[in-house]
Amino acid sequence: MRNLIRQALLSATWIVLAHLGATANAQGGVVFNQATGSYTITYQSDGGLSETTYIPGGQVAPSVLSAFRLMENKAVVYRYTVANGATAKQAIQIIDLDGLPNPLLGERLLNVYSRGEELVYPSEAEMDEVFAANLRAMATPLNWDSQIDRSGAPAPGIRWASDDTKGNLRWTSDYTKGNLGIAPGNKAGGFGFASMDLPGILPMKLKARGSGIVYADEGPADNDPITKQIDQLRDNDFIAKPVAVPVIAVPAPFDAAILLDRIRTQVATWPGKQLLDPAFAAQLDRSMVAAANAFRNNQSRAGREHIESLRRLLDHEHKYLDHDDEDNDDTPEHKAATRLTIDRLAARVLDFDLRFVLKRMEKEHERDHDEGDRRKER
Amino acid sequence: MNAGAQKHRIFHWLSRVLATNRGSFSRHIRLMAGLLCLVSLNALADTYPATKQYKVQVGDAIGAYLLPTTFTSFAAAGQAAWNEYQIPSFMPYAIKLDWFVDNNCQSKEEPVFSRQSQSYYQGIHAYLGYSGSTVTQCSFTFNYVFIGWECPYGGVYYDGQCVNAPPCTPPTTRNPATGKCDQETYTLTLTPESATIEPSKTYSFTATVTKQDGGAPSKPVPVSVKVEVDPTSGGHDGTHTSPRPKGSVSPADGTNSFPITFGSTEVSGIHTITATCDECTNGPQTATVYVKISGLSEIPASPFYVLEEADPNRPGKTKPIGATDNHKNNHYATQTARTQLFMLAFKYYKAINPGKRLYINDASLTWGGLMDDDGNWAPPHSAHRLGDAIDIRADSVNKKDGEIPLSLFAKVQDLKTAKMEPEIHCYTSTGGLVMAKAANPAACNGLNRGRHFHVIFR
Repeated sequence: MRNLIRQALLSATWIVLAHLGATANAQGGVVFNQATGSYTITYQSDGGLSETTYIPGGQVAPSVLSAFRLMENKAVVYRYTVANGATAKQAIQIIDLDGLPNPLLGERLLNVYSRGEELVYPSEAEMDEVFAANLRAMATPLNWDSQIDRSGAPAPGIRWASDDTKGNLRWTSDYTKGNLGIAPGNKAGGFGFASMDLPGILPMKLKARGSGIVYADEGPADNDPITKQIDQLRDNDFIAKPVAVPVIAVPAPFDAAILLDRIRTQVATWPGKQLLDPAFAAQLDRSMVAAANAFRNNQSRAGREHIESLRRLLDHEHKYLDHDDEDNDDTPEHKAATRLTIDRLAARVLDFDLRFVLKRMEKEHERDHDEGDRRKER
Repeated sequence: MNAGAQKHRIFHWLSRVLATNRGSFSRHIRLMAGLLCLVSLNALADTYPATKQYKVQVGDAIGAYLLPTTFTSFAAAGQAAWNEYQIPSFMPYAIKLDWFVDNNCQSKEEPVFSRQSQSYYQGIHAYLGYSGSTVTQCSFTFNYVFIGWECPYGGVYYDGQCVNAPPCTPPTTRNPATGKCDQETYTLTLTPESATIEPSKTYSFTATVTKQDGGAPSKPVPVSVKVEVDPTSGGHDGTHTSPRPKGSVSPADGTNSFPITFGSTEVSGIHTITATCDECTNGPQTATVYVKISGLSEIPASPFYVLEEADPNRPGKTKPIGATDNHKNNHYATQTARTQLFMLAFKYYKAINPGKRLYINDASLTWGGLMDDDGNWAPPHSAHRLGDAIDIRADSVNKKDGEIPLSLFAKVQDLKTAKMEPEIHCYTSTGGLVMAKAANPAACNGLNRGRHFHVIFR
């Protein structure tokens, strides 16, 4: 299953690149050179036909291990170990994790807003605080840099400079300190962060720096079709790997039925990512619906039983799913007992989310019990 | 309604009217009905309000001895020979009779008729003035009898209108109130009065000549169109080459009503379209076209980047970096670009090259559009048109303050976000083909027009 997923992602990337590579004509174009693995970009410039070379950064062979653990404060700590296969042609130097819906634990947002035509920027002190906080919010290995690109959330009366509220995380190797990235055959750990959101699965994008396009003039015009092709080329220049990321917000006040609905929504995206067999997905979904309905009808015990049965379904597919710090690979023993209906990472993520629901329900139950005792004492 | 249907409707109406009012209508109605039958309704032309015809009668007056009891005596008043008085239909009028009489209410002179409001005079007594100091009330009643409709300028009556009147002979036009054929007068309009478009785009205006009734002229009225451009508009100053290119209008002339397509150049600025019609009563009409990229504002000052440098031509003064006599304001950008530049500069200042500020070169002109570096209304610098690209000084052959060192190029490029992407550009002296090998960032070295970061903001 994992190999299939990897192959599918690799294929998708190279299909895009190959497609772009086929579009050269007299007005300009992008041509892929099989021998060098680079692209020759020809475009109309002010002085005539110009040419530049783009060396893609996606010639890496990454694998990523996700670890996630629930802390006492109900935050979830996420950690990633990135390895670069020995067959890679480039070192992994840039790691992107895009589309995180909510701020990380400790992340601060910048208050840049507009007042009419005038943009109101934060003070330098505030900027310092925000950037320092955001550096702390991301775990970053030695000699790597990190950044959070998030424009902030809309607020009443304030028009933000951008409506992009999703967070994009990036780690880059600091070559000025001698770190040239994760070389082929090597691996590095220590990438991570904490979040109050439960894990789902999104792609992590990994690549080498590649070239960064250098134009010996102003480059192609904005409205030149080549510009769009180049943008696509660069936008798709990475290798994607599924990782566990915080995408499921825990409702406050806690509501098991709503949380289960959100987990269902996330799981529903997995068949499309080839992480989950559609038939098995339907089976899981039925149980999740039953559990959510039970909690909605104040039948906590029934809800818990549905969740336990869900976990048994997962356990039947992959063993030791509750070992949260384990890597994504099944042991040979596990593999022998696996029917490959669900990717192991997906099974681990779902099991984690379901256990979270159970734990919270237990605590809710204990709290209710304690309050009852206190009332009796009074 | 088409002519056939109208014809059918008129005949139907006439036959109904004649059947129900045969006894009370005058011979004029019957005459008109007869005429209607003779007129071809297939050639309907002008329409105007019909005129009502009334006959004034006086009778049953108190003191009737003053007046002849027969109506025909009014013929002596010099009105219609058979005692009719034509009254326009837009208001039913009665006839006021001013008749100077003596103390015995005897006639001193001939009666004078004048039109008066029916509502006031109908059915009440009229008072006759006396020419002397004594007023004697000589009362009598009068009334009027509607006898039919008249179409004094041709056509036939239908439903309060005179239809199928022969068209006025050009260059005359039907007066909608009186029905008379007046000499045509023309008015020229050019719409809309103004428009804002982006460079290299087109916009459609309309020139329209109308005659006094709002309709189209009965003959082709020529209109000519031209366009001019404000030579210093759009952020272009100084000593550009002449002439400045201006937008086009097509067609340059036409008649009556026709669309005019304005095509702008790549250069932002104010254009004025002028339409002229020599036969029109009003003067030339103008429309203003603002060719611009909307939403650009000046990059604000920041502690993390530098916008100004010493002006070599004015000792002790500063100017925006990259500004020239031809383009004094080159630091305009979109809101996104301004915000993202602020972030980029902060990161550079704090993390990439601590304590060092970015030196901001060209962004866009006040209204965007072509930034003709050489003041010749032509590229290069074609990418600085939309306010979404800003140049930043970087290591180059001609050393300047604040350049980003070559060793930090990749770190600056690492700061790429979904909304901001730093590229590296350099110029050739000839504009010819140059291979800029990415693996060799020094490829731009040796080119005399400088290497720089060209940051694109989305």
